[in-house]
Amino acid sequence: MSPEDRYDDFDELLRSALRDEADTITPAGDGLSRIQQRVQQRGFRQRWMRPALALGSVAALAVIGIGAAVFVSNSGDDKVTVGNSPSPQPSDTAPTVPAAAPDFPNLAIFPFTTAVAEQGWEQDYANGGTQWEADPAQVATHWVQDYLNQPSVNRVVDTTDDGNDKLVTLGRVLDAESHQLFKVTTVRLTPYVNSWIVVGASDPNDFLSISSPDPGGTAITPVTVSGPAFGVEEAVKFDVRDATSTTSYGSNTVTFGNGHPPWHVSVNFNRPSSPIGVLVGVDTSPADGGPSRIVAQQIRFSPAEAHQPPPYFYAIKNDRITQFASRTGDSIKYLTSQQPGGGLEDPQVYGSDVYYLQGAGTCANALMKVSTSADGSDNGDIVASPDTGYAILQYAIGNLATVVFEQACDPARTPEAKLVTIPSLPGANRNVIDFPSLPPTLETDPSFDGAESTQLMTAILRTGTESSLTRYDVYGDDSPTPGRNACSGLGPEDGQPKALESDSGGTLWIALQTGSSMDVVRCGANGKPKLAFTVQGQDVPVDIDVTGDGSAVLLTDDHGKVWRWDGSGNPDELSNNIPLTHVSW
Amino acid sequence: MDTLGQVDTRRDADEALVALYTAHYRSLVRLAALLLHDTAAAEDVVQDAFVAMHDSWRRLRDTDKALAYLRQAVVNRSRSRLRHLKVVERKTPPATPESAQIHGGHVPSAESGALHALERQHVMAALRGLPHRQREVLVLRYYADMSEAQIAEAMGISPGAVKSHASRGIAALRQTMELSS
Repeated sequence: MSPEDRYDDFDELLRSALRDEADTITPAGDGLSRIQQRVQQRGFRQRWMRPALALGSVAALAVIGIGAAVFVSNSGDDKVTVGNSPSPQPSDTAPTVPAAAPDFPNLAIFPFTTAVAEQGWEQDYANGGTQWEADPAQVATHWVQDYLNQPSVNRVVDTTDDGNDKLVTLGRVLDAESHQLFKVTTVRLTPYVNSWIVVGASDPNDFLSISSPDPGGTAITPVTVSGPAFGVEEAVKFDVRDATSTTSYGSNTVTFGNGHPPWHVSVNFNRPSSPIGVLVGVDTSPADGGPSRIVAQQIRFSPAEAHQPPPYFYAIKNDRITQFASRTGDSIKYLTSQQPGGGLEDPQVYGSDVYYLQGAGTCANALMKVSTSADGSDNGDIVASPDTGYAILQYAIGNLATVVFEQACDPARTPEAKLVTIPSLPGANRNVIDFPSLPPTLETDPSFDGAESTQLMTAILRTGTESSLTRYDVYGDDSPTPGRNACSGLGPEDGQPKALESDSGGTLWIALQTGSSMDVVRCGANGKPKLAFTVQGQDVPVDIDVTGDGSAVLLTDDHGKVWRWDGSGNPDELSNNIPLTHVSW
Repeated sequence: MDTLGQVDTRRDADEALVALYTAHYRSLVRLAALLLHDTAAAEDVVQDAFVAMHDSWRRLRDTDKALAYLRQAVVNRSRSRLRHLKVVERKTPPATPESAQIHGGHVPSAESGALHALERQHVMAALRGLPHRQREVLVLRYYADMSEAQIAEAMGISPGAVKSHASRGIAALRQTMELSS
């Protein structure tokens, strides 16, 4: 038996080994009483401290202010940190004039980009939440491993002071014969209250550097990145990323070396969803393909950028997920490979991924996703599969859950359809709303009610010949017809709703078929619809996709025509040379 | 003096603590023990997590969120505990392979000749040799049956990093198993 045969069932072996090991572990029986005892002790301590906290927080700010001065005068002493400020203690002599808060680092990129976000963590920190944010080496390691996704860069090689800042140099072991440990990046961290904040990273050997744009400078797509040349056959990938999530907006690779003049590269990026981003450059080691140098700095996105429609949208072409130019409708690149069985449909962009259904028209379909930065050879990852005997017809991706509408492959099966909520949170139970027989049924993809919504979702519910906008509580409902009208001011006389989408603020955008036109209306919390734009003609809306801030809309019809509306006036019909019925940006 | 709202919140937290303890304490201790290879330390870590969860109840207010919080706290606190132990280990002489095996309790008994039992012991030994993040991902995936997204949430890393740690961990385990066979 070959080793390969022997470990074909390796997953199962690992699973059973872990379970067997776990079964041998039996906790002592006094766990609950020990926890309750500690809770009680903490309760007394916190209640004792609480009256002092209001004064104590003022005192803490004063201590921080003093601490900063001490820090400067003791710049060589590692032990003097603002993070180790003494806890506030009850005091009769607390100052009555509030001290000024320290300035938040204006080049912050991780783990917080605003003082408000940092303050949220401070509250958790005080209550026993995560502690790593208070340790510069741990912050640097988290940033490189989790944010930059460079798990091999896992050695803290050096930590030095630079005024108030700390410089933490991280390295890795070369995955080649020499197994040499070498420095990859020096992370600069600035203290703020109890946390340490990454404000940039440089090449420890000072070879790779960015001359333009400046740290904290404003970037408009495409951004030109340049720097001095060095080395031999260098390949550096530059990535424009969101600072508050791992979303990549766009990347490009520049090769240089062999005495070439200064390098430059143009990076196209998608419309950012937050004002602060990070420009990251990663040089690759020819020895093992891992990172050899990492540089990073903050960039800010132009406010004008926020009012431009996204440069790309995504749709299906030749049975592959494809990126198109929003201005013209021209196809730009494939994201997925040609997959056996094909049947791709219904793409929806969420974050930096495009979700889609694969195996359409079969009972073996699945909800898949692929990164928007994929290069055309990707097979996608499975997000959800239907229950046996069912196929996924529609879906919605939410903040903390995915909802799929599944229909039985055999109409005699009961229930004939079901709306299934699959939570992202570990341990949470899924919720299933049975549709015993059809109708009622869901007309098209539902949509969560805004970026923050975890529970409320709106769908077009068809009962016979009538369609209505119905709001579901995806965890609390068990009836297919919960009777909540998501836009009370919209009546049958306004037209038949055919497609909908919520923007991140929760405003519902609805495409209506009136018989003589396609109308797109928006409906806010007051339930009153307001006309956004109209496309004259007898075409039937199929899909609508709206940007997070509601400033631009894509609309498709049953003939595969695509309209782009930029927030005012009439929509432009794109000149896509193939029919596109489902689009997303 | 506490307000009525504060009293309600504390009562909810007390009730949630008991409910979560009843339903999940044992599995969380087992999870921590698989990460730490030390049952007593695992119990400490899980009890710490329950106390912190109780403190944070005002923010959580939901048993599902609280369970996610507990899992995340257990993973993070186990990692901190291991980091501390590594510092301690550096200051103590290394154990001989024999003594390490005896301490680990993984020398097969004379009666236990079954190949699969031996394989499982090898797997566990190899698992303990992995870098901590790879070990965490594999334990969460194969013991706790968590999805990539759930593991990412619990470990506070990206789904891509989960995938990367998992594939590297599996590859390393396979290599170790092949060498030992």
